[in-house]
Amino acid sequence: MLRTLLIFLLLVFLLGIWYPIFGQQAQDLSFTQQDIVAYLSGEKTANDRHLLKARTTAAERRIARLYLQGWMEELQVKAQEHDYLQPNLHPAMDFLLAPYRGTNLYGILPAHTESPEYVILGAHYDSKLGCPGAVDNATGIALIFGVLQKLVRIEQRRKNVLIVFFDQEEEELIGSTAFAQFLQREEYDVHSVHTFDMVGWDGDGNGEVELGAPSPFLLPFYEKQAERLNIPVYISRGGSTDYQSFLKAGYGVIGVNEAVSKGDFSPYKDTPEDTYDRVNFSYLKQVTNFVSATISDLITKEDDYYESN
Amino acid sequence: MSQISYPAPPINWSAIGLWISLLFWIKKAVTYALLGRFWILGLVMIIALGLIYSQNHGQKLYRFLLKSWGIYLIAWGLARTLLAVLMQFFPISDLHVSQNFNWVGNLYSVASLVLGFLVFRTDRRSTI
Repeated sequence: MLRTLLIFLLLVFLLGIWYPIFGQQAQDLSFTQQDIVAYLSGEKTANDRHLLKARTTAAERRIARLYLQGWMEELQVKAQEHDYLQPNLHPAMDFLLAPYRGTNLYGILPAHTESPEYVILGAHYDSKLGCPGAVDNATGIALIFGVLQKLVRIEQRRKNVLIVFFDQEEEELIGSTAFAQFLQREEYDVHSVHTFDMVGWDGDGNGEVELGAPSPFLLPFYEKQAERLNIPVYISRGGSTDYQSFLKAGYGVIGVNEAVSKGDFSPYKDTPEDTYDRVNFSYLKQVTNFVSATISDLITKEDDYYESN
Repeated sequence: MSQISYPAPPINWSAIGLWISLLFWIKKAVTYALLGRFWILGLVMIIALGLIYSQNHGQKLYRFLLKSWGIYLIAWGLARTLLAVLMQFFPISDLHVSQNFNWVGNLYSVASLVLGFLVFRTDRRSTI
């Protein structure tokens, strides 16, 4: 009787240790992502009591940045601001208008070995005027934090990871253009740039993911994980999102998003109805796991790993 | 012994207008030049250097440049004021453009109209 009781107590004790460590970790990802999307799209407030109706004006974008800084520091990544000025799209407009002014937010997760290379993960944090921007693009940000949660736990990172949240994507990719120039000016050794824009809609329920303009050396990594996780992927060459800025600057890039060019994207994009309750969180989690696995591979293996194996 | 008093010299509003407008545009020109755009810098250089040169070499050229600069300032202020008025009736969703026409931006437009008028009605006494 005493022995049974002791075994029972031991089991309770082990369960008590196991659940907070492993059970909590298993649930962290989706809870965190829901929190992030909820705050950024004005579904709920955080400690600062701000209710973000949109992320468009300078004040709204500043509040969003402060929130993202908090999450970065939570994950032990020091947040840094990249302030920039950019000329107008047409030179004639320079006479009439002031330059664009904005702030990108970035942070570095260093490699464990001496490495000059940086894998860049980026998503824009602004939204269209008056739009909560839950799918576009609070989901892209939530994806990055989901990936980051996994990357910080990897003990053999062979490349640095730079995460960046772009300003003013909705105004003709101004923030990412400025950041690409910043990388060139500061002579960062960029391995590849991965951008995430709209990953919260799956109308036909097939879980399909679009890979935008992938550089050939990146594709095997994504395809391998897609095959392993049974995720349908396809390649698109068009698209007007942040990876275009880096493509123009000559970097190896890939864009990850819902099946936009096949028409399976949020119909609420750029409307006041792009709200928290329209987000498909299980799709977001699935894509996050896919990207996490791919980036983990990328920062722990050689570039030709899948070609030579 | 009587003291001779001289009247205070009149304030040269045209010269003040010219200076303020040139400083504003030089700042704008340098900002854009640092961003790789040199059109505004070219325009301001032509006006400023032309005024300096012509001050002692040709009153006709000097007055022509002043009048041209005045017209340019008026045209700039007028175009922006008209756009600001239009945007009251037809709001646009482009945040960058609409932010350029907030109250500070509109103040610049009106100030440009006033400065342009001051520079345009200048005479040969005005110097830079």
